[in-house]
Amino acid sequence: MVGVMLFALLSILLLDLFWIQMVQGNVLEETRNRQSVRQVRLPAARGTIYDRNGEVLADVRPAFDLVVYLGEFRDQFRKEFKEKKKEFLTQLKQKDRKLTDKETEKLNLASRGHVIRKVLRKAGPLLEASYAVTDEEVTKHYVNQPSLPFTLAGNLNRAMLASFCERSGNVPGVDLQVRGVRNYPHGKLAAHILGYVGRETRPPDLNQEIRYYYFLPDIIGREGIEAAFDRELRGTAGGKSIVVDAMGHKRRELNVDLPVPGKDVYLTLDRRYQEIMERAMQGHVGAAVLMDPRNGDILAMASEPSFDPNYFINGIDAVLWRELADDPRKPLYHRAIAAGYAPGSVFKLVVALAGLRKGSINEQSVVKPMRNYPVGNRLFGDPQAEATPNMLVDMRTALKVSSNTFFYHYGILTGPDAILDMCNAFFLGERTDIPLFAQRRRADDDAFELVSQERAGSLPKIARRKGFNWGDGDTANLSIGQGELAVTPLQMACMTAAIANGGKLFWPRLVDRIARSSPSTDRPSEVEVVKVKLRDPPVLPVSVAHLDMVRAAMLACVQEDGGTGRRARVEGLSIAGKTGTAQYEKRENGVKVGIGHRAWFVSFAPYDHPRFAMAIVIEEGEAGGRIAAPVAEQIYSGILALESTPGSLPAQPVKVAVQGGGA
Amino acid sequence: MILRQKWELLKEMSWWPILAAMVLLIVGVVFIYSAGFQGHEQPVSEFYLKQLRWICIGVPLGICAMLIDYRVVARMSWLWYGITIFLLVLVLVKGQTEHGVRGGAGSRSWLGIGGMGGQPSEPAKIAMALLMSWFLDKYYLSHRQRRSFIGSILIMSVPLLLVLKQPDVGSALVFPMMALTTMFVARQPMKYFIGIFAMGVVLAGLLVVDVYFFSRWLESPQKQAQEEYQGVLPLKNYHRERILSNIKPELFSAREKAVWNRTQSILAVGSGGFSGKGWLKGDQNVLGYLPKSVAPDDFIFSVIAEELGFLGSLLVVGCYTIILNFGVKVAFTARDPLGSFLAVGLVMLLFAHVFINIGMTIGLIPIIGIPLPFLSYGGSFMLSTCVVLGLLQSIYIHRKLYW
Repeated sequence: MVGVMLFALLSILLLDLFWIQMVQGNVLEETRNRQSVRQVRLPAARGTIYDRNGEVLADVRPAFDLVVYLGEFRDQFRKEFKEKKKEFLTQLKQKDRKLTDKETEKLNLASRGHVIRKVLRKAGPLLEASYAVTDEEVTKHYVNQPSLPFTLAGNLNRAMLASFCERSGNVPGVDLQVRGVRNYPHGKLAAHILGYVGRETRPPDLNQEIRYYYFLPDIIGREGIEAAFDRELRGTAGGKSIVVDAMGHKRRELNVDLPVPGKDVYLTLDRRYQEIMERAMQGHVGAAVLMDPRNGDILAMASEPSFDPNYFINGIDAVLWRELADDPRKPLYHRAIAAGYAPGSVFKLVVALAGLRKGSINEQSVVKPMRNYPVGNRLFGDPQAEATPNMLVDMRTALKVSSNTFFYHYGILTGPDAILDMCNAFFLGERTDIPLFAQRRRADDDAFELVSQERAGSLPKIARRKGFNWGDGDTANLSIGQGELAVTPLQMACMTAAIANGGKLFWPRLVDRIARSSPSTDRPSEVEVVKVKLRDPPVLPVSVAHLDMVRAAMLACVQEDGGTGRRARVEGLSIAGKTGTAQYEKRENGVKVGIGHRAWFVSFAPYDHPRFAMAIVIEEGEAGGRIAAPVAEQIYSGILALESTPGSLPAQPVKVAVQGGGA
Repeated sequence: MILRQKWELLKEMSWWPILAAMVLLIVGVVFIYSAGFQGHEQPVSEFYLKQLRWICIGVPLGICAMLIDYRVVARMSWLWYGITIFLLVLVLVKGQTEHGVRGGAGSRSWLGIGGMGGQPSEPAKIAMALLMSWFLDKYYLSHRQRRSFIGSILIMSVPLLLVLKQPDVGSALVFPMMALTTMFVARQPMKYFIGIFAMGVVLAGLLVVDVYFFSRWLESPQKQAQEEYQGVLPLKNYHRERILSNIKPELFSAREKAVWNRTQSILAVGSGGFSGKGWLKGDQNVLGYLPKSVAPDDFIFSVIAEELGFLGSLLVVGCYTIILNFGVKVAFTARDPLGSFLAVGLVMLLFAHVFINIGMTIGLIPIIGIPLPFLSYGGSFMLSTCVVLGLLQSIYIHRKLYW
């Protein structure tokens, strides 16, 4: 009987073994895997942004962090807590009292912080001096994310790195982690175009196929090219499985899935031109755009004041952010594409072309400048009337000296419809589709979406409100680029380029090509060139003769004495241009406080075979000729000096190949 | 003359249990090596070498036990008993908590002299079986039933209480299993067993109540205030935790030792699947999830089951079945009641260890530190199991002698 019982019990054992090993084996193996295999995500290296000559504008540099896994200090925390508790109670002379919850929590907080600070001390005096670890940080991390490494000291510098490496053997539980960090070697240069990056704040998608034990978030583009080409630059994250032992130490790696690095973006910008332009713009508030009229390439585009995108890399600190955000000069604002200004007298180019096309202006059209030009019962001023006293002014002179009277008169003759037709021909009031975007958080679902940073500007609507009729006064106002008219500096540059190149309208091109750099060979692969594209309709509806008249007037404006743009003159370069001074109502808190001015200068050069078209706007510049034209002079002479230096011509040949029209 | 006689006797020996034991010994050494393996970078713990040394001592000792007539040994049982009781008392006074692998939760069970030493509780089990069978043989079928019953209960109780005092609950469980079965076979009156059974029920009831209130206490504010738990039974809290972790593991955090060993052992056994992961490839063991401090002894079965799978489990359980089957056969064929009783006691000793150990590694019963015969690392237990097998053989080979 005893024997039977023994074997019955043994069979129970066997049955249970069968159940566990054969039936539940797979389930248990999975559970076991979960506890000892950890998925770690490997973020891809972000692609580089180059200028047209292959000079680096944004790359990735390694940053070193000192991290600890707090879970490994559990026993030390406990020990420290016991000591702290003893000390605490002895101090109170109540040795046998139990701690309250609050006291326990407080002591826990203190002992965890103490232990981790001790680790930091062991890592070296240099590190201890530079980094502070608070009790709260440690406990918060310990409670909320025990499986993630806790950053003891982020972004070590060289000296710290050296001092840590010297004693790395003596600091148990501490790990050095390398991570790629966005780096803008030229600091503020082209900051608005490049944009900036941030750390992805979205929590990892819990529904995704692989559950990551350690999810290192990607760097994502927040603004500018970084945002617009985020998908290309970001690459594809890889992953690996790490087998850890019971203590959490890594033992071996399984199936490493290497990340695919991001592609590189080559801009049409020329770093040298950009530098020249930003130097010239320094101290002003405004924007400038330099284009190649032969293909629409943006060679330089500046917006002042600027900011250093390097500040944003590790999450900008609150003080600096407030400083940037609260600055009345708005350094984060990309004026070259997002600011709508009244074009002022620069708009006279459009009116002249409209008039020539309609026939209301011809070579014989003249007017006698008046200090005040009456339209209906209103007087319209012409501050340039004294510049040409007792003289009949034709279109050429009118553009040269920027005569308002001529354009009041002939603008009204031409009529608002013809002027607006010409605006449409230049695609004013429409976006140029420049690929600069910003990531904005949607209000309703907190998701990010990409929003174009560009402004379309606006054109006046002739048939607008009920009970209000468009009058000649409005036309006169429109003729000198005032009123309900807003254009961006980029649009003005496009307009100037079209006038310069004989009427061809290009989409502005900011990105030249996207390529994958291969680590083995120097030659990039998968090159994807962004095509040069004409807009639709691709040419201005203006005859070559008419266009040449306007171009000649622009040349006179700069090259002849008495021209308003004479201050832009540069020895050895035939520059043609047009100045503008736009008035606007200065408002403070919605109350009109006076009249402000914005100085414009649009230009192209050289006159015969234009390679450059440029638009400059300067806020609070009282006259385009006096403020904006000298800036253009600085830029042109800088470029000229650069070109006369041997071997410094653009390495990248200018592409003139054109793909047929169409949007 | 005497040698010749012994040679004749040896021919009677049963080879099967020897074979099974040898298989187990070899498997044991091989997997103690594996249990000490921590990846190729680190040296393997030397337990497997020490185990080999113990086998070298244990096997001759077993052969001696086999050749000596068990009746001679049993006649001297008072002596053995006295010695082991003395040692058990000594261990309470001068004993150390074990060093080396076997670390029962701080129990004083190890006695060492110089470099040598061991756990007196292991020979005490054999000594008790000897004395018990000798005593019951004296009173077999006598009329002084009460006297024989009380006597055998006393024989069981002395070492039992001493072992409990250490405290070594695992070993303490083995004594009543052995004693009661032997008494049952020796035809002690049923009414006493009913009485013991009733006592057992009451004790179990108290245990249930105790543990139940303990589980309530774990979640109560008194625990946070770090008040002591006032139990019904004189148990340590970790005992209660171990029992409770078998019933309601969700009460404990996974890292707590009571739950940890149990879950990790089940994972190790279960993840072995049908054919296991291969020698030195059991991650549970190699990566230290199965704590290195207990893997070579109390949890050696988990290591084997993980690395050899269900096939390995079958092999191990099969070997034990052969040995236990032999023991039962010995009990039936013994030439006298003394041999029969002794065989029953020794079979129960082996069985108790096998059942409790394997049962705990697969979560069938609470974690109780108790080694697995022939497989687990451990000196004194190795010697005593060799002697157990030797004694069983001794009873067997002397079965046909009628003098």
